[in-house]
Amino acid sequence: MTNAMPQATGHHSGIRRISTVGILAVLLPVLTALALVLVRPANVDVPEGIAPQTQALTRADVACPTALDGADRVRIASSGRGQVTISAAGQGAGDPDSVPVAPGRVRAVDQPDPALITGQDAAAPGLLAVRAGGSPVAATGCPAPINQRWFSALGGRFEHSSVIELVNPDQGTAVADLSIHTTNGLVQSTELKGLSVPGRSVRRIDLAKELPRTSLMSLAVSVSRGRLSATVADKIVQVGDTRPLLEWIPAQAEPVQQAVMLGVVPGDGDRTLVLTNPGADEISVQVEVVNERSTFTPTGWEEIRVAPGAVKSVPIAGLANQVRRGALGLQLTASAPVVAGLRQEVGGDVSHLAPISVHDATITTVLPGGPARLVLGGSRTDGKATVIARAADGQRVLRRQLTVETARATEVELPERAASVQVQIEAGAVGGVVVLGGSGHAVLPLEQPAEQGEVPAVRPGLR
Amino acid sequence: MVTALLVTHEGARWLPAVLDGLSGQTRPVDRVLAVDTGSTDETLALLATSPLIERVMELPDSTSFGDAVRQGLTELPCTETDEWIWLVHDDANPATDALQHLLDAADEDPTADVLGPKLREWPSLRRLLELGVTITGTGHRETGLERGEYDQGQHDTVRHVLAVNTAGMLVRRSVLEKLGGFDDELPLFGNDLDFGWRAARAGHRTIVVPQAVLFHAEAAHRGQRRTPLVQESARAAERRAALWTLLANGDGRWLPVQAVRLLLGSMLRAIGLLLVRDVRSARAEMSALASVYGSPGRLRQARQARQEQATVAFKEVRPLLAPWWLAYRHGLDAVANFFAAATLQAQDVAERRRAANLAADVGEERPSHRSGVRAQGWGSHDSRSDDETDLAADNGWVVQLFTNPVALGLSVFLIFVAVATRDAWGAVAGGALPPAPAGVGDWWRLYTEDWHPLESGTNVPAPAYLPVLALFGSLLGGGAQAAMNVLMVVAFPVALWGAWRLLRVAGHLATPLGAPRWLLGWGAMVYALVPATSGAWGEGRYGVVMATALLPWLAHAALGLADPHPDRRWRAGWRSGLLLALVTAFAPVAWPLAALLTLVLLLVGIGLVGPSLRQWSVLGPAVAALATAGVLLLPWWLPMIVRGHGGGLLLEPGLLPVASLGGVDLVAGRISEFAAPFWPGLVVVALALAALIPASTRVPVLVCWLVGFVTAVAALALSLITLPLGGGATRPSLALLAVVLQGLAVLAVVIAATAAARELVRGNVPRLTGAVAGLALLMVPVLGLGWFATFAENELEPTGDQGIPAYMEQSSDLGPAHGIAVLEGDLDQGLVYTVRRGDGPTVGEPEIIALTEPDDALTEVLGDLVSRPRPAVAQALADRGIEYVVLSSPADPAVAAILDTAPDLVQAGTEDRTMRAWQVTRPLDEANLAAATSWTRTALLVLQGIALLVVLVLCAPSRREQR
Repeated sequence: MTNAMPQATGHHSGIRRISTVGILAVLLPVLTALALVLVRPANVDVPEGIAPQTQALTRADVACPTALDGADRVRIASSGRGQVTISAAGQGAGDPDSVPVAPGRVRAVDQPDPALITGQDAAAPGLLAVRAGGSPVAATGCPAPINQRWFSALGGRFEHSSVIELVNPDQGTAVADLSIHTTNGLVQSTELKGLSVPGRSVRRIDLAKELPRTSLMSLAVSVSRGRLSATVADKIVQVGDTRPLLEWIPAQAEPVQQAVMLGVVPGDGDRTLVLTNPGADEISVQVEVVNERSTFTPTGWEEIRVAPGAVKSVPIAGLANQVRRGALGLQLTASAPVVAGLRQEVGGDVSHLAPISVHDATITTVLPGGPARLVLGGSRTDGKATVIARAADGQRVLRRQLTVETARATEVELPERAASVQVQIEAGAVGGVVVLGGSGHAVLPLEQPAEQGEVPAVRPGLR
Repeated sequence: MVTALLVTHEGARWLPAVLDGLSGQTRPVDRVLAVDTGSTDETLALLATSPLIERVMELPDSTSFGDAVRQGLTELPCTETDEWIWLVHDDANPATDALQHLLDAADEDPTADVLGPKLREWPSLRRLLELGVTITGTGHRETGLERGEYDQGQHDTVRHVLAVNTAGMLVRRSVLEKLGGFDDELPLFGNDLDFGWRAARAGHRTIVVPQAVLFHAEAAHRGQRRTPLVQESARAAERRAALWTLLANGDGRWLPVQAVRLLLGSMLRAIGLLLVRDVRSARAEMSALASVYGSPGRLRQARQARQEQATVAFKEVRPLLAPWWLAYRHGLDAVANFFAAATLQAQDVAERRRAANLAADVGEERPSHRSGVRAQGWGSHDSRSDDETDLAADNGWVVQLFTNPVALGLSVFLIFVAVATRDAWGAVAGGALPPAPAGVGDWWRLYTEDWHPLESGTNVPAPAYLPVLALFGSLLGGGAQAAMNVLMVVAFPVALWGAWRLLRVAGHLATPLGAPRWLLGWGAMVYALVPATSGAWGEGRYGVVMATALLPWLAHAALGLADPHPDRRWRAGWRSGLLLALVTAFAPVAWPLAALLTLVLLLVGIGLVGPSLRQWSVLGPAVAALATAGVLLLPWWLPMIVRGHGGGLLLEPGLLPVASLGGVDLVAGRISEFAAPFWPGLVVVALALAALIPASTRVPVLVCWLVGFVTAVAALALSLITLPLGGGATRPSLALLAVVLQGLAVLAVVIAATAAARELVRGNVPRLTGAVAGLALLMVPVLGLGWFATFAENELEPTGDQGIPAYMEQSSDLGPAHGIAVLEGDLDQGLVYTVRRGDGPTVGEPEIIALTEPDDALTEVLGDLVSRPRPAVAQALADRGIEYVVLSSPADPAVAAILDTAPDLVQAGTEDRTMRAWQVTRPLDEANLAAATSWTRTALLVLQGIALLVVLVLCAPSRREQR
């Protein structure tokens, strides 16, 4: 680099040299700065995130809980055509049975044990199963594996006990954490954390044994590892009655600020609204009545305040009167997300309501047969829907178009032959339940079984 | 009675003086016999005309010294019992009182049978040659004198010694005859040692009499005359004599050990001589060895003869031999001298240029080096600058340290750096620095294998710096982590030292007096702190840190390309090539930058100086430097290009992403967010701008700016390139260019301040200006150092948690087939995967992995795994050597749900509950990831090794014969 050193440059005339050097002394820094200004930083270009691909579901799992008295029968429907397998979960389970499914048809299988139902490929989209039966009737949808679910109005004493049932449909062990809220707040119990459920087996937690409490409780099930289906069976022993009242408690997906609970049943008895505040601040909840014409607050119904983390159970004595006047459900408006449930101990049976979830596509459920009525509501805008009921062989037994208006609910009586009901929502977003009648009562929420699955894009990372 | 025996051979050059010396003795010689061994010059005539010579005996030129003496004795009848023989060489001139003193000593010590004078150099007359000699265990002729020691009477006591030189030896005739004279196996050299040893074993005393002085030209030893007795070189004859003497006289019990020791030692010396390009000496060494070891029979006879004469035990002689450690001290001195010479090679390029210019002006060729004492024997410099001699003065080092402000400042700097780098003392990783592998064996393996079991297997060549790290780690005892730690800490003092050397030469180039030491210290500190203040160290950019440390050494070597001597230019070329290869290994953009700079500077040089630069001895070394670096890095860039990974030639070591620098960052020397918050780089650049103001140093400062401009253009050009990577793309790292710009700024400031600083010290500068300038200068290193030692943050953290459960790490240590596919991301944004094998991406591996083409088949398999897992998917994973699939934290439950349904995948435990993992239960296929040996890789590595050896030999300092 010193080749250009000054030793050999003495031949130029002094003046010229100084001027050249002077010019260079200005020019070089300027040019250097100019070159540097144009330099672009060496950012590493990493491809943007790639959205998942939507495709027809290739596998669907649902798990039906252990049968309550008389509800041995599992009814299965699918919008696809193919074979679904049904097998008993737990130790000593035999080979799975294979059941053909086709769109519109309902297949019934007797399986008193917890049943794992799996549809693969063509049989996977729209797989749906319901366990119902008994007298008085009890019913529950067989849930798909979940991440988190809330259940309200659980009991932990002899007179009222609840059994949580966790079913693992996969080979590997799954782990769940249970959080119990009581009137005093969240129960700090390490025994209910990290509950592991071995592959393809069932774990039952009887709250009366594990967590004896006198008040009503709420439960949050969150699955931290693997996949689990969670159901809660509720048992009420009435004084002097030999037969306990049995029913499943429907789940709430997540705490919500506005909840609509449809499916109130007429008759005398106790109706208890159970509110849980999962947050850290006290909340206030306004309870309104929903009927076919409007949503309103009956005179004298006060705002309910719920302490942080606590459960508050409020008997709603005035509801029986409202039902007689055509009330179809309740609407709750809370100052912060809330978990809610309504226990109806009416007419010698018990049934539970949970906030409905609204959907904008087809919602459906499978019926055990017998008297049933469909209640739709929860619409935030005026919506349109077509109700189609079919017999078990797929034959259409009812088709009705309706409008579902904001802040109102609609009721449709279903034929006794109906084995399945579909609500095709053409406008708006609607939720609903089927209230099963006959002997006792039970409420089945309408579901939107998964038709399609999302597949994440996989690409090599920058290393 | 004293008989002088003058042995001559082609000695006409010295003979007249010798004859004068003999005739002028204060105690006259009783008779003089001259024995000539076949002289062809005027020796015989001179002898014949000398009145002193009683008789001249003519013998053929094949007569050995011993034979000549023996035949001379037979010619002289024994006259009395107490006769002394005084052996005189034709190139050895005795002082007039030499014989007098010898005889006086003999009178004083009647037990002395052999006496020798003090030998001084002829013609210098003042330097001591010998005062008796002995021999070391390796055959080195040991005089006990410093080389070139002046005679100031410091050794003037009569001593008992092993042997004295035959030149001037006064020996009792009876003893000489009894011992059979000198050994004919040693015709010319070393026969004195052998004789002395034999005499000692036979119970005779040899003393040296320093009052008697003889001036000796050592004509045969210096090769100034040739005789047929010495078929090979003088060196070979001397070595042969040394080996013979040791083996013939040595202690019989230790003979086998001694024989082996000498054999190995000689071979080692020969190799060492070859390494410094002294082929002739190496050949002499080997021929001497062959000659002695090739005739065991004669050696046995010689030993037998000595055994018969011996009257005292070997251990009596032992104290007269050199102590055992002396040989090793000589070896150590030689090595130390070599390294001193090697490091100082380009030291006084400035001085030599000035001398050459002066010579050109005067119109005569002058020696470039100072005449006088050249003790080292190496062709470089004893003429260390005043700075070093100051430091090496006689005071104790503690006194030195506390009385020398520069030494004190540098010590404080090193202490602060040691404190500041405390975070890098343990096993650390972070930022661009991956964890170190378990041992250097992993580095050697990675570097030597052609195909690496990383990801799905890759043929991307290992980074070029791996052998450097591996070698360094091996020297440290096999610790890869230790190597990384030491490098990350030692880089600072290395940079400091290099910058000091470079700036000193630059200062000398700019002004004859050179830069004052405090200015050098300032510049060196500012530069050495660049890795810290730029944030490169804090972000674990070890490539930049190492390149920064090596850069001033490269620049220093490159300055040698401007040396006035072609031989030095060439050596500078090889040296620059070697250092360029090193810098390029740690910062790959160095080579293209060097190529561009060479081109521009040569063009500018030719434009300014004219066609005189256009000669091969000027262009050649520069081209050689670039080519050398290319050849040395062959195993890295050739496969890179051939296999289509050319982009890797501009990446930087360590984990991605590369340092991202914009224009402002390049100016201010900010490489990462961990840079010093007060922008010290900007201060230095501002000072460099101000450096253009002083007119006297404007031209050298402009050269710095020219280099800076070329660097800026290179930065601009590089920033336009996009390099494809396995999972994305990047632009080249410009971190090195930021360092180069900072270095140039420091250089410019030091050059410009050199003259100004002298004025400042003399007080010729207004006080205020001086204070402002001083403060501005001080601020950068003081604040930088203080900040680095206290507030500086970094990304280096103890290694250990790699986000993978410990049991998986253990399992993956079982072999490359136990891989872990790590999926990151979620359903909405998609998943990106990496495959982790062995101990994860350790130093050296990220660069390979970054360039590895993605395995489309594996991508497809993993795509199937997260969409429709069937049994075949698990089998495909096992076939590809994937034992675990990890969904890193936070695992998307939607994705985890799909994986939970996968057959032949079972959940695996993770400590972190937000992370999910599954184990593939199918048997893993080990064969798919077994590397095959590659002959091309082996050939490339062998070529690299040979090239390295050749370059090391070529850039070693030239060795001068020690005379």
